[in-house]
Amino acid sequence: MRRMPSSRNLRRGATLVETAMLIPILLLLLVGMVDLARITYTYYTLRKTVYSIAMYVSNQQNVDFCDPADPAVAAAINFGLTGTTDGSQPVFVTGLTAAMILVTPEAYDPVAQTISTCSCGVPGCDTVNGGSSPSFITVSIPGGYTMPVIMPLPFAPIAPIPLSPSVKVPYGGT
Amino acid sequence: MSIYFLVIMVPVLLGMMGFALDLGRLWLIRGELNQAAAAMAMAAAQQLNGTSAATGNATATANATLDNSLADSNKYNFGSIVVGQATSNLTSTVSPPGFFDSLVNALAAYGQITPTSTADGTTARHVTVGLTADAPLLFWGLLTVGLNRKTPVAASAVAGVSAPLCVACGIAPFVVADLSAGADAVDFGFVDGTLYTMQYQCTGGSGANGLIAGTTAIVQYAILNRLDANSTFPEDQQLYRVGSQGLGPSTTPGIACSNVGNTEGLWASTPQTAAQAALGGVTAVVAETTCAATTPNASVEAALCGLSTRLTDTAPTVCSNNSDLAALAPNYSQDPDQTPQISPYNSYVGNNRRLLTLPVVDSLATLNVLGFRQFLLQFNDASGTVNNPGDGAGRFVAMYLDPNGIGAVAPVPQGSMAPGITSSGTPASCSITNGPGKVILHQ
Repeated sequence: MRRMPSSRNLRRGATLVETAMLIPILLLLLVGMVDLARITYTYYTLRKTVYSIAMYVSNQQNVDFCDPADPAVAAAINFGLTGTTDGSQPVFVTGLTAAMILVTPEAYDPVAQTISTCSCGVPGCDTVNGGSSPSFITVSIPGGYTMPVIMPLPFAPIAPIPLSPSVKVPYGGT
Repeated sequence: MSIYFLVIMVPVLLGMMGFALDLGRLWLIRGELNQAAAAMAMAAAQQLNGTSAATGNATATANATLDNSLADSNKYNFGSIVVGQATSNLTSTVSPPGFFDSLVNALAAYGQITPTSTADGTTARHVTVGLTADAPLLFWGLLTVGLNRKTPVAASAVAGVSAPLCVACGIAPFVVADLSAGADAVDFGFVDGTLYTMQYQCTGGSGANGLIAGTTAIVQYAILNRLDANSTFPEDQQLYRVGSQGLGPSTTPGIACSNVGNTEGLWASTPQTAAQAALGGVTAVVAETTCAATTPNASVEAALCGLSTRLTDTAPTVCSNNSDLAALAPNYSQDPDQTPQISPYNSYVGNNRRLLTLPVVDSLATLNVLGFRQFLLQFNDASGTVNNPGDGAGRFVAMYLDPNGIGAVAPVPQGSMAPGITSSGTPASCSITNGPGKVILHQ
């Protein structure tokens, strides 16, 4: 004669099923939380990096914004990436390279109150060839720093998210 | 049983996820807003030149950091929303900056969303920026405490003009002597608001080369030795550049700057290099011993051609005849304030092109720098005659500005409050209490 399962055993079975159903959801929540926190943290670090570069470069002398290999801009980017102007220390954000960072000089027209990208011609911000100093410096990561997502969604995998912070500061150098 | 468990756990979970994500984003947004406020405050402080128009210029320049026409203004919430602009759900407001005459007052307003100015443009030396923006709440928005699904985040920044600088960079390389011979440490014998005929250092200077009508006295000047041996410019183009926008950029502080306590040399004391001479520059003339009536010193002429770009876009004939100088002319634009003779200084509405920061030395023979003072470049007469670079004595008209009076001085682009290094390599002594400062971010 078969024994009927006791109500205690029934309850135990139901809890087991409930837990089995809950665990993926909880895991998804947990991993998603970690993902979002990583994105926030990385974005904040990148934002700090571009701000440091902008503040450093905006206090320098003899910056040639028209020279892609300008030592002052290179030193500023190294400073933002590694904390050292010669880049002798490891980078703060893995995979972030100097080539990803763009430093743009901008001119402000006080009469028209408009802002425009400084050209490298005459007239422009070609300071080495007699141009005037820019009014603002914008530092950005135009291509974006791609952030892989670890969230394991089986049917809809999430593509890496590009993070591209940008910061604009007034230029205070000569 | 499970239902009760869920009812209790869902708010707890939402709250915890809120701590993890919403709080992180709030922190991020606070950082973004702080940086936006700092950029605004520094941009505004650069415009504090002691004129009535300064506060308006400062506000406009501060707002230029939020001008998204190039799609790169300062933004918040992962760089998605322009600071100061509202979306359908989130609002962000930027108050006009508050202007203050002292750092204490400016710091007292730090943290206020709408700082109230206690100084007008003529006395403002410091600026406080306050702004606020709504941060969206993802998880806390599902709880009763965050039903608005957003919360305001505020940021503030204080910037201002620093103490007088011992090292000033990007200034004009013309030096004037202390008229009081050491008796007046504040104004060096100059009188606030007085028009002076600036005349190149030479003997003579009477008759046609004497006092320009409407000015009070003749002040002799010399041109500092700032020839950059590493520059690819011939000497006359270098003179033109320093005349039109001040000492040029250089990684060598001795070329880009001037410091109190240093003994300067005159321009022609270093000859240009052979490579620069091959570019076709003029040959320097050490000093004119007498002021000729018609033939100007070639160095002075090039520097004064540069100086004239501060007043007019139309190059004087002697400058446009020189192909070296005519090539550089489009780089520089005239001051928007075309009032021939501005008086008083606080009615000046230009963009500081007409402001000259000059080193003051004990005498033009010994050239020991005592400090820096500012002059406003004026037209030669009330009908708007531009200074004539072909003038035999290199004359132009400038108005002296008292560093402590109404119309206190504008910040110079760059410099240092610490003593500089003398040309012999030892630290210079510097204990000055008057003169222009530079822009500093305080908080």
